[in-house]
Amino acid sequence: MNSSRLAWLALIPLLAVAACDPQRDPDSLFAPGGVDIPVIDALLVVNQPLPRILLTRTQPPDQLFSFQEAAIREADVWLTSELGDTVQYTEVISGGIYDPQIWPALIVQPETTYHITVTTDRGERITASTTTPARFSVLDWVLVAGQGNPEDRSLRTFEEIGDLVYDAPENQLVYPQGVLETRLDDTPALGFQLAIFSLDPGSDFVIDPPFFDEEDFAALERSGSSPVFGAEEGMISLPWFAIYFEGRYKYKIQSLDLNTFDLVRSTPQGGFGIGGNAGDNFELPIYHVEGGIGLFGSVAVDSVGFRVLPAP
Amino acid sequence: MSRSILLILLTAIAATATGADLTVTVVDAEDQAPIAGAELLLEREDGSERRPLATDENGRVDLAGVAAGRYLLETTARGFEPDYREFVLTENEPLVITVALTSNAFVIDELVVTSTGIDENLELQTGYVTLDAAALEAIPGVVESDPIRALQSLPGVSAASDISSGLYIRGGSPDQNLMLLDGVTVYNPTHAFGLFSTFNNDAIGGLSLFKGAYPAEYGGRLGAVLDVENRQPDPPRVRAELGVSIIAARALVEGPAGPDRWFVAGRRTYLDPMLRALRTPENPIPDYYFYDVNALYASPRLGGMTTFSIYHGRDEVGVDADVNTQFDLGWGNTVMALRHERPLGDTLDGTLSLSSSRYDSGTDAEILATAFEVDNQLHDVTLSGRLDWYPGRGHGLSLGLGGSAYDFSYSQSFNNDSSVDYDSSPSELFVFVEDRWRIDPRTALRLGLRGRYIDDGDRYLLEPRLSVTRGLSRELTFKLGAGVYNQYLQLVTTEGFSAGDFYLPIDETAELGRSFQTVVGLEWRPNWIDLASFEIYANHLDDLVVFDNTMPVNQTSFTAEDIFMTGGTGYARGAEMMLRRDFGRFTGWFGYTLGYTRRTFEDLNRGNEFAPKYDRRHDINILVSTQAGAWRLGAAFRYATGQAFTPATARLLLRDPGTGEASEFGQVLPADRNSARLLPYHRLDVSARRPIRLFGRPAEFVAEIFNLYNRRNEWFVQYETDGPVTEATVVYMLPLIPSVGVNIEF
Repeated sequence: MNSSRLAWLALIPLLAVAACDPQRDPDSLFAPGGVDIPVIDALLVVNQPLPRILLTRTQPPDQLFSFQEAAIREADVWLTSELGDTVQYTEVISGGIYDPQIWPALIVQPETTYHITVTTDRGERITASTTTPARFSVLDWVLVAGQGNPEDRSLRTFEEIGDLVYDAPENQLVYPQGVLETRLDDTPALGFQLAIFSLDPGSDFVIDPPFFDEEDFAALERSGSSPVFGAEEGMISLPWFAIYFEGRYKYKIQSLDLNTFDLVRSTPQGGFGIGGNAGDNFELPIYHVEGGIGLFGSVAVDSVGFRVLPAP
Repeated sequence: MSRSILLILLTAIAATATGADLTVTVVDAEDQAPIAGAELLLEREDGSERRPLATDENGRVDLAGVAAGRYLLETTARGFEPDYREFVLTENEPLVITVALTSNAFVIDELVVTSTGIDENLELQTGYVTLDAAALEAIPGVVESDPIRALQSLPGVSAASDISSGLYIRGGSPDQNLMLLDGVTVYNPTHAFGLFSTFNNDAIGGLSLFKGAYPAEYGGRLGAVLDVENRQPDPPRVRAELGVSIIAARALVEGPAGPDRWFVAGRRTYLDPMLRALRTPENPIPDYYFYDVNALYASPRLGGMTTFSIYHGRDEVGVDADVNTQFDLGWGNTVMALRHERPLGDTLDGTLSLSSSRYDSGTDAEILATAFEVDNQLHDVTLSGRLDWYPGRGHGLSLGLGGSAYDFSYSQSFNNDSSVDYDSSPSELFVFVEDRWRIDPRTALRLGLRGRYIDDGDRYLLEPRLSVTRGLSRELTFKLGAGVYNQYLQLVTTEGFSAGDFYLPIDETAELGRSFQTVVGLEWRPNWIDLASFEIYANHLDDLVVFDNTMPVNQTSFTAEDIFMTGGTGYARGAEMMLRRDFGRFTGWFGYTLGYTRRTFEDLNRGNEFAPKYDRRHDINILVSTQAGAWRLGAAFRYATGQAFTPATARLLLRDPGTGEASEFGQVLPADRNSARLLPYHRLDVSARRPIRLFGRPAEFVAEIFNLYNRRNEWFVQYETDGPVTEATVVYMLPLIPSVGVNIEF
């Protein structure tokens, strides 16, 4: 066999590949096998009344999400606790939303196991359990010296002065001076999540990076939450990159039960994921729900309020 | 009478001692020019004698008094096809042999000279490939010639993407490959976030790739070994080469110093002034450059060959976007090696080496007034010695002994809180023994055993290795290879962003990853083609680890079980075929690989088995090169099954546990891990080179086109739920990229 024939033979697979090359079908980027799965959404907060529960079904990934179409109606929902409480939940008018039928309200207890059982109108049975975290205490909310803040300064708390915290001189934070540090007691916890809420809709931006365009500014939200933080050192600090606006803020820190801890740490951040790329972080989150997916979890919460002022 | 007998006996002994004279002349088959420095291995058929030899400046080897008998002669020279022949030496009959070697631009299984003489891997090793500098240059590249990227043209070798130097070899992940420069580990062999490797084509003489079942002299990785060799300078006078491409300038200077030889090679990108000119406050394009320097000094003065080599390379990227947002990122390797090789007798060679390999990377960033710092460093100092003994009867024995002291450090601070401050200084001792035994002219065996002691966890490891070769006919050879491997150092990498790579030891909180590899193959060497090979491989893996993406962001504990998901299992199985032709008007190869790779982790994919992204069902490689007048033309085509990815399967409503708010449009639910495939990958690259004269000097013009038909190969899929309908966006790899360059010699 001479060289020329060999070279031409080598071209055959190339031409075959080019001829048979499929084009991308946009639908093939979705795998709709996960549609119609029951989703439970309930978060118990220690020291607060039993929460509202949402029951829905998963929808096709490439279609408009409709809560009304997703709602599970006429489900039989029961919540029990190891303390002997038994509470029935009933659907409220809008469908898919269930409230506890108990008066006076039942307060969620720390370090207590709660169970939920849902039987849908199709006869599916969904169950889950959560053991609530222990109450924890924030020993101090401290604006640590540095980055233009001359010395450590403790913030005033809701327990001390209620909503006056927003006007207390100690709680006036100048962007981006100092770092707000939360010092915790030694109550054991799996992990913590931070959440921040801008309470003054329409307040001005406190950031002004020249490389942001209008679309970037428009995408900034007034509330947000963090991934899971550990607290092995008994301290968690609030990153300034979570603050975009001037004005009053409520800053919440919550200790997580196992279900919430696993869900938050395993959910692709930002509600989107990258498939097939390095990192492989687009992964089915960890749900602790039998017969469905979602969250039946619990948290213990503490919070503080402050006001953010623009840099002088 | 007794005196006569004694006289006869003495005469007979003298005659035996006299033997016959043998002269071997090695020439270039094309122009009959003598080849100096060709390596010969003369071996008596009964194994009683084995002599590594080298031709002199006239291409000759003269031996007097060689014992009569039947001999095997292997002749090799860089840039030529090897020659194998048998002959009979008769008592008192001088024999002159002329070996004419055929030049070859595509020397794949070229014999490579190692510290012990002739590379026996060609004969013994399955899945073994070597490429010399000329062959590497002939493979079309993208912008800069790159030896690691060139390897992607070989069957069984693929890459994560067009911009990645990470190699997937026979279903293994990049962290399972041992990357060496002259035998010293290079821990992050990438520039430009993986677009290029650290290996400068000007500075390397060639490379050897063990795709699996590698021998006992190597260890520490579960998959493959790539050993890149520094250039061996041998110029009669000082000479220099300059080269320019679109993004970088290169220089090489080499020369003699008495009997010594040396070279210095370096390159640096020059994109930074252009990037600076394009930068505005609204568009803060980062500043970026990389450089690297290789140098080697070799001296035969101390009774053997003493070599000192150094590599230093660095990447720096930075941006100063505004007063609250800036970052600086740098990473690099410094590798030094001092080696002395000397004969310790007629049949004994010794090698002593001391090496240091340091890799570090650092990030100093501030994003919207939040500071973030990461620094990591790995320093490895290794002292090793090796003896190679050829006692006869077909045996070649090697004994190696050494130790490595590692120093790992990793520190991380976020928002001015130091969450990780990790330091560890483990050490490892290793010993290997190996017997390469030619049982008969058609059968060879390599038995090896590597022992390791790692003080971290007080671990003792034994790793047996085996290779068998059996000639079934004049043209057909059967090969088998097997081995056990353990991995102590674990690379944590994001292939799209290799700048942040770091290594961690698998401490006593987790088991070391283990693999058991077996390879069976046939090699056919008919006269119409150089090689047709077929191999079947199976790699079984236990106690694999994968970086745990779900750990808390400020985790302070840094043990292996905290950082990794542990206890994974897996396998890689497949078949590989290669046809290669190195002569005639067209040269090149055709390769096909069928592969199946799977992994199982208890904490991934609900414990179900999945295909990792380096699973490739089909992989086709075609490389063709030809001379057309003054032009040397090359083309490389590659086809591969699309990479596995995780598709979106549904949308769901779930409130954020932190804010209590639900996204208006719900969230995306991922399907089973890697349960879909990107479209098949294919690409054609072409190159053309021709000698020219520039400024009165000999030079070479190089033109290359990457992705000639502008195939938009898919890289990954991104799902966004900011709108009412989930948008799936396909991100593509590199389009058609033309490049030109000039190399000039002084």
